[in-house]
Amino acid sequence: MKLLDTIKKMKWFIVFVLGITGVKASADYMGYSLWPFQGNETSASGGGNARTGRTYFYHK
Amino acid sequence: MELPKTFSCPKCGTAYRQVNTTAIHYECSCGNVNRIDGFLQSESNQKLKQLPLYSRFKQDTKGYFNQQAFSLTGTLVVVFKNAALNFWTMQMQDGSVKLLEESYGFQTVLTPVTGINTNGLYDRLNRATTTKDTIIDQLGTYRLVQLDDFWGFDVKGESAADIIGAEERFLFQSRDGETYIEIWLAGKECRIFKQEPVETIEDLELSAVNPAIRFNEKDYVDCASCGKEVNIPYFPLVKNFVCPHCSTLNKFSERWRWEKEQKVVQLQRNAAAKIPLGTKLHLLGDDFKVIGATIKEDNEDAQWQEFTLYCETDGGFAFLSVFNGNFMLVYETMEFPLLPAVGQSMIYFEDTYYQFYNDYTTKLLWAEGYVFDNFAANNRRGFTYDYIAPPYLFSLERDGDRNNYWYRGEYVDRREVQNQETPIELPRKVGLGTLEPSSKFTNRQLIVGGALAAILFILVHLAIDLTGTPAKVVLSNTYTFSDSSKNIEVTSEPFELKNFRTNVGIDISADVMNNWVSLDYALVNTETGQEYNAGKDLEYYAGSDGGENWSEGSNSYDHLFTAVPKGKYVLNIEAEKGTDAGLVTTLYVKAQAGSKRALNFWFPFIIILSWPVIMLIRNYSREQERWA
Repeated sequence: MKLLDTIKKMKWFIVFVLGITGVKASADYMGYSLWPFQGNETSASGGGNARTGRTYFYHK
Repeated sequence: MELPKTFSCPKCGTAYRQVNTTAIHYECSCGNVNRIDGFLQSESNQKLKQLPLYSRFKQDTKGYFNQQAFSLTGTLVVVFKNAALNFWTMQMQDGSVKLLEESYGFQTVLTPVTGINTNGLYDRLNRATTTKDTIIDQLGTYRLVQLDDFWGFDVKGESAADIIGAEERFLFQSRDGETYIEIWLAGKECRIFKQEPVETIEDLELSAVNPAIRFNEKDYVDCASCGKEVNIPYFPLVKNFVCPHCSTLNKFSERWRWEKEQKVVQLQRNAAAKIPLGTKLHLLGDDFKVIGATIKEDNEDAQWQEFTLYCETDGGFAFLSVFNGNFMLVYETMEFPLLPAVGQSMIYFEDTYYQFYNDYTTKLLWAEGYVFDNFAANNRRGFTYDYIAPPYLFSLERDGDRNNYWYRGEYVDRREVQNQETPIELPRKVGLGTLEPSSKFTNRQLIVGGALAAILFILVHLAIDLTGTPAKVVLSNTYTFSDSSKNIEVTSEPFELKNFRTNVGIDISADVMNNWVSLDYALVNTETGQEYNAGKDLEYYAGSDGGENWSEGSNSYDHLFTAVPKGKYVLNIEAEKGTDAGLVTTLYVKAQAGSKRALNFWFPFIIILSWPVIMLIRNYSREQERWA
């Protein structure tokens, strides 16, 4: 009964967890990145090809 | 075997055939209470009074207790100093008699205990206190919980309860806290009963019950101060009222009359809940009627309101306590833990730990309507000890060393009070309520929920690992720049990606020092010619400046081609050595098909755990507020 109450109370968290896990599983199978700020990636599914810029350092 | 006898009422002559041969009193249809003591006589005991019967039970009702059938033959209504109780005679199927003690929404069954050596018990009872053990023959060691004085009684129907001569009623709790006994002391004679609580009336499987107690709303007395009539529908259950005409608190005394106690002084309170007497409330699933109100103050000058509520659902009474706009519902309980020792920080009862919260003395400042408090109690300096396990409370009121009253409390959400049928003006809420849960979720729920979510996520991650493309190194080699050529061009062996989409990772490192190397790499589908290009300049500079070493850049880099469609591929890499004065001699390249992205695990994993972690921090922070 206590467990049922807990599940009932946490239903939105459970939906959230299942959603995120589903997204992660899909992304893994499809080869997509979930992290939005990855610089050293080239996505074959779209977007431009990547080349990082070159930096010239000042030194003596 | 003795057979039931037929008697003629000494007052009116009406014949009465007793139901139970152990009956001691019966009430004749003319209203006379007769005593059966070998022969029949009108009861002349001076404690016999005219009392109303307010009960959920009915005479001649049948029921079951511990799988044994019984019938209720009548009741003894007793007024004590601190309570008023009905003792129904339970004529059991096996011919024995038990008593069904009832009032204030409680019911317990009293079973007479015989064969007890009561030598010396009278003296031990006189010395009994709530903090000392009392040995009651072979029943064991007990602690006194309450001691009450008999003030008066009345009989309805036929009663086998032997009340005559009884002066005091003792309630004891065993040292293991599991059993309770009740002792009626009549002179030096001890009548001992084992007390067993009955959780609900339904447990008794009664053939009929009163659905609710109907109080005599027209019952009245004259105010002891102004002489005007005041209705006292809850007497003898409630023995204090404030006269609505002159605001004098009247209390019922041992002399069996209402006495003037003190005029109630009006208090100026703006921040108070305004709940008029008579208001109907629905709180925590029960229906209540507000019949009284008080304002109290503790020894640290904190003031709170307490509304006396009559529970129409079970015939009991409760108190709605309001402090700083926070609400809790408090009611007396007949099942409680052992008396905590001085300074005890925790009590344990029914699988729950209650933490010590506060101890204080209470002073009545103001009252109206029907209340359980009076001003005389202000001088008794009773101590209250609160133990909490939000949203629940156990509160112990110690009135001297011979009376402990235990109360249970539960937090009432402010919205529940606001959403009553009758609109109620509520004070502003300040801070966290004593019993207010830190959040909707307990720490235990958050930890269990978070752990289960993490386990599910990890299992899914492992399942994907097992069923996805296994990682395969398709290129791993070291290349050297020659003196004549500044460029390296590499093409890997063809490799096949069989899944719908796969990642291909590339790790590159070079022994670059104060120089740079420019890299271009392309993943080429040998069947379609589709190319995926990327590039990177590796540069690493180091030196010392003013005695301090410095370095900039990096001599390694990893890149990931994501979501690459299935097919046959080669990896082309072009490297151009820099023209700076430093060195670049070798280049190491490793390419792996089916590379896993660590962030695809950690990023959603942290998102999932963030909610329980944030809630736990919030709970902790709010708990600090509660205990500040």
